[in-house]
Amino acid sequence: MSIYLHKHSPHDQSAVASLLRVQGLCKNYRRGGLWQRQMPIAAVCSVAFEIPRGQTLALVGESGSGKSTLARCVTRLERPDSGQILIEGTDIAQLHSRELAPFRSRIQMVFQDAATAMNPRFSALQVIEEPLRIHATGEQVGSDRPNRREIVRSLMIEVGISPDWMHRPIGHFSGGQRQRLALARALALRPQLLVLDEALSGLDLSTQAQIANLLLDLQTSHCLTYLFISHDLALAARLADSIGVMSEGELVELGPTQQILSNPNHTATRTLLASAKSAAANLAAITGASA
Amino acid sequence: MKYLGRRLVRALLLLIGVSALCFLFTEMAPGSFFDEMRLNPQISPATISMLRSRYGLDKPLLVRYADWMKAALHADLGYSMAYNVPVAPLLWSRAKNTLILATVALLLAWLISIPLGVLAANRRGGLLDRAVMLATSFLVSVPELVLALALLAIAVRWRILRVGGMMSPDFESLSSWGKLRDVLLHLALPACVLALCETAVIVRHVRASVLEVLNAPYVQAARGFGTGPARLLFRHVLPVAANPAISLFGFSLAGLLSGSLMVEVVCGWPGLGPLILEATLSRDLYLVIGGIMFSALFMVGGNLIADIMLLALDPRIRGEASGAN
Repeated sequence: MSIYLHKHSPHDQSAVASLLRVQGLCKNYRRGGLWQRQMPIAAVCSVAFEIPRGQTLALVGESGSGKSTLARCVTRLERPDSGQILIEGTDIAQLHSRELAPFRSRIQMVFQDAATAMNPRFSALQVIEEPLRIHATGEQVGSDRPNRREIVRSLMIEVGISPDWMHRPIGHFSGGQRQRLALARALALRPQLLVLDEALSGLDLSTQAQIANLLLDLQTSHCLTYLFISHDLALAARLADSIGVMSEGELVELGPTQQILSNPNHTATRTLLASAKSAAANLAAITGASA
Repeated sequence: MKYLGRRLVRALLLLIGVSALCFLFTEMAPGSFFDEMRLNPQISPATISMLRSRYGLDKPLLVRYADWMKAALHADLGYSMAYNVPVAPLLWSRAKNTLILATVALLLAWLISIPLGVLAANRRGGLLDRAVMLATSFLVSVPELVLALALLAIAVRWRILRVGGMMSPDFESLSSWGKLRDVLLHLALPACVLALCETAVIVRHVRASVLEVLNAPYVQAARGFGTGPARLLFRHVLPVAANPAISLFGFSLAGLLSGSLMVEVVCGWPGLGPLILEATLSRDLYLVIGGIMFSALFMVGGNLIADIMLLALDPRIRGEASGAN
C-alpha cells in the first residue's frame, strides 16, 4: 500500500519527494518471562505511509493503538521486527548503532512529558547543547564552547524563551516553557523530521495553542516534516496535512485531513470524531453558560 | 548548613530517645547482676546492698538516668560491674574491631554490588541478570545465621581461613606483613558473611534504580539524539541512579555496624557483639546500655554520613536546603 499525501498540489505527485516512507512495519512485544512461555503481542502490524518533505502527517488513535510504538520505531529507539523505514530512500529499519549515527541527527523526537524528557539535574543550556556535544566532531559547527552557547542562545530565542535563563535548572521552568526547551533541543541538530509523540497532550489549552502555533512557524522557517502523534483529532486536524487513524496496531484509515474529517470510513475514526465533537460541544456549553 | 543542623538535632534526639528506652527496658527486665551473689552464703546481704549503692542502683530510675546523662556528656558511660573498669574505654576497644569489620564488609559489598547491578540492569533479562536475580533472592531469603554457619563449616573443613578471634596465638612473633595477613585471614569469614547478606539487597536496589532511570524519557531522548552507550550510562544514567543508592549506602553502613553484632558472635570476632551478649546475660547494666548506645551511635552516624553525601552530590537537595534558609 502506498498512498501519496499532499496539501498544496494533489495532482503533482511525482514532483514532491517523500522524506519518510514506511512500508510493512511490524513490531511485536514478548510477554512472559523466565517461567512462562513467551507470547508475542503485535503492537504495530504492517503499517505503511509516507510524508512528503515539509508536510505533517498526524497519527491519531486511542491509547494502546500502537502510535507510540510506531514513533519509537521511526526514531529507532526500537528496532522493528520487519518492514522498511526509508529516509530519503535509505532504509534505517535494521541499521546498527554505528551505521545509524548519521541518521540520528536527521530525525528527532519530542516526548509527551517535557518534565521527564529532560534530565532534571541539567540546566537549560546543558540540555540543549547535549546533542551538539555528541555530534560535534572536528571543525563542525558546535565543536567549541562559545560556539555552542551561541547556538543555544539563538535556539532559545527561536522557541520564545529568554536566553538569560539558560543557566536555570530545568525544574524551574513551567510546563509550556519546558516543552519549548524540548523543541529547542530537538532543533539543535537541524533535523529534517520531527516526531512529536503526544507533544502537546500534557499542556493546558492556551499553552497548547501557543506551542501549536510555534510548531507551524518552525515548520515553515526550517522546512520541517512532522510526524504528529496524538489522541486528539481536533488538534491533529489543525496541524496536519493528512491524517492516519490507528487502531489495534493497524493503520485503518489514511487520507488528506479534509477527507478524513468529512468522510470517515472506519469506526475508529468515527469514534474519535464523535469524542472531538462532544468535547467541542462541552466547551461551547461552558462558554455559553458563562457568557 | 541549616539542613545539616536539622539532621544533627534529629540525630541527637534519637540518641536521647534510645537511651531513655534502654533505661526503661533494663529496669523492667527481671533479674540483676547481684542475683548470683545473693545465692552465695559467703556474701552477706550488707555487702550486696553496699555494692548496689556504690553503683547507684538503690536510687530511683529517673535520678539514675539523670546522673547517667550528666556523666555521658563527659564521655563517661558508667562502670562495668563484671569487668570492674569504666565502660567507655572497654566498649571503644571493641567498637574499633566492629568498625574494621563493618568497613571491610561495606566496601566488599558495594564493590561487588555496583558493577553487578549496573550490568544486570543494562542487559535486562539477559543471562547475567537472571543469574543475579536468582542468587540474590536466594541470599535474601536465607537468614544471616544460616549463611554464617554454612560458611563457617566450609572454612573449618577447607582450612584456608582462620576461624575465631582476630589474631592467631603466635601473632606477636609474626612480621608486620604476616600480622596483616593473619588479621585479614581472620577477618575474611565474618566480612564475607556480612557482605554477602548486604550484597543481596544492594544489588537489587542498584539494578532497580538503574532500570528506572534507563526507562526514563530523558534517557530515551538522549538515545534518540545519538548518545553512545558509555556516555549514556556515565553522563545520564548513573548520576541520577546514584541518588537512591547513596541513601542506601548510609542505611547499609548503619545496618552493617549494628547488624554485625550477631555475625560477630557466630564467627567469634571480638567486636561489640560478643561483649553486649555477655553483658546482657550477666545483667551488667551499664555495659549493656553503653553497648546499645554505641550501636545506636553507629546507626545515627551512618545515616548522617549518607545525608552529607546526598547534600554534596544532589543539586536538588542543595536547592531545597538553601530554599529553607
